[in-house]
Amino acid sequence: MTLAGGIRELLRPQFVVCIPPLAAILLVAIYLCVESVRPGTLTAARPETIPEAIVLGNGPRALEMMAEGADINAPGRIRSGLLDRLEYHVTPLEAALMARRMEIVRLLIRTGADASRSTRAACLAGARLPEALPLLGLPPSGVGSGEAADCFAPSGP
Amino acid sequence: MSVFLLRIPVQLSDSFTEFMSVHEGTVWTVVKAGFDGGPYLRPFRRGLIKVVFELSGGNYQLAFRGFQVIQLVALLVLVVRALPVRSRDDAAVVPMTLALVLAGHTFAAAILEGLPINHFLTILVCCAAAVNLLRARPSWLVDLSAVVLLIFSMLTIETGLVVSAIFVSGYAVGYRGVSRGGLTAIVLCVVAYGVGRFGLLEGTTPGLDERSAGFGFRVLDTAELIRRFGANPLPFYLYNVACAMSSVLFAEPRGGVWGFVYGWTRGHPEPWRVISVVSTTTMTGLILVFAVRRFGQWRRGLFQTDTDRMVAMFFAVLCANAVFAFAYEKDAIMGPAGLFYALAASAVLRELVTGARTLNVPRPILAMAMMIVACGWGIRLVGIHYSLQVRELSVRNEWAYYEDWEDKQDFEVPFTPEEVAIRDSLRRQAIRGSSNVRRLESRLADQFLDVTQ
Repeated sequence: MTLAGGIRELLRPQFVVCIPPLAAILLVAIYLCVESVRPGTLTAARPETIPEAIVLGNGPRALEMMAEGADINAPGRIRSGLLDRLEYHVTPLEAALMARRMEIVRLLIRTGADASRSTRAACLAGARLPEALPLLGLPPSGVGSGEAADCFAPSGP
Repeated sequence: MSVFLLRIPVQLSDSFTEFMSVHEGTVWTVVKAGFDGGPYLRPFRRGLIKVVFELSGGNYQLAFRGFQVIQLVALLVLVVRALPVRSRDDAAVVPMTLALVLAGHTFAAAILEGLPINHFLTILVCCAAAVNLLRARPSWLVDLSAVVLLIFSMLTIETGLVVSAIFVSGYAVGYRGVSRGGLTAIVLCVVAYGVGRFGLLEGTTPGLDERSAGFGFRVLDTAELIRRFGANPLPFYLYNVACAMSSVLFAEPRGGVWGFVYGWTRGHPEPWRVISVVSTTTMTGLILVFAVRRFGQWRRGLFQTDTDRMVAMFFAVLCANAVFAFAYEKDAIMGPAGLFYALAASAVLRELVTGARTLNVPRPILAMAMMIVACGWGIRLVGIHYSLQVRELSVRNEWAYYEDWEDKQDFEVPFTPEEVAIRDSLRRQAIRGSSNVRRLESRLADQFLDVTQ
């Protein structure tokens, strides 16, 4: 069969109607197979720490890790590329403030996160999420208002 | 699709409160409580929830999503059974038919929502079963099944009354699976429903204060609806009925909101809306060309082929179904019309594929139209799976932030220990397995696939 003949064959109404939905079903099946064999090949990065779960908006995964025994106040790594180009080592509360996720800040405070154990929470809240300041036991304004990056700057001589 | 579906936990909104309503008493007391008048009459809906709740043994996610999968499989089996597949060319249309059923926006809510049993999906199964009964060999058993099916569907949710329209229109176009006697019984059931609901139970219809609704380019809350239409709601009701029909035929508006038109007039319609509207409108065009050519025969009462019957029935079901959207237009309400759209479209495509009948449209235009339809619905079929993944994370997140949700509710009485146990179990099940939540990260997918449901 020539190429032109093959194309003509494919343009027959039977094929025109049949191939796109079958291709769609095949795509979904391939996606499922690939993700079953090698998870994460086609999907977004899987959170490895509570702070990563938080910046990825996966609140239930953060809760699941806590239920498995992870410390809610312990700093964890956020790989570069998840929040921005930099890699961070922050507490879950700091991660929620950096990602501007108010609902997770509320969740963490309810679950027992201790803002006083973070040296950067107040600064990050002032810079990124001022409405979270009252939840941290701080006055609604006046605590930092610069860039989030300033909160990670060396604190002086 | 079932794999995606089984991964979604029981949702919090519109579901958790149902558990609170059914965990006490027996199936009978739950069903009986449904006959309480008011704007809705849905006793079997809660009855069904109660049955699955009792059978779940505490494994709510598996039980309720499993039941949804069973309903989905039943629907697809019934749809395929209703297709006249006699040759290879007929078989070529089957995948497209499934895409038309599964990827339609009126079907999406039946699969994406839990509720915890999706009664919209239940009604779709009933509609597909009705088509099978119409095409069955006539017998008293078929008549009895038709009556039972109607009673079950109309007491599950109001839209279930559409099943009666299916039987009546089916008989009118020449299907004789259900006999004249059966049809009489069906009509009597509908009359009894009306008398019982509005006479004996003193039921009402949903008012403007029931819920927010789409109008024009936005959603109006109940206060604004009452301010605008409180004195005379008729124009609003007519708007909803017209929108409901337009939504099935052109995929616009959605939920009463003209999102595609809004985007178009501003020069940047969202790509997924373009795909939805163009693929649906093109298919509707093919159906309309067929209907116009056959209308003369239909007027004389001649419905010679299955395609004639299915297309004529689609228009009848579309009109009957749209009436139920008078109070507020919601895509899921139009599910039965969406199902018949798929069956009618499938029948027309089968005519074109087998060459049984032409539409007097130039071949290149016809080929282009079929290409647009097939590709558009193919993309939408991928989209519904993508939506299911998005839905999984959003449902799990709902439960993670349960306290935020509870703050917005007005629970007057504190939960009993048993209710607390149910809540905690549902929440545990929603959070468990979150490490496996995956979502294809693609900006392209977000633009081209519909995740608005």
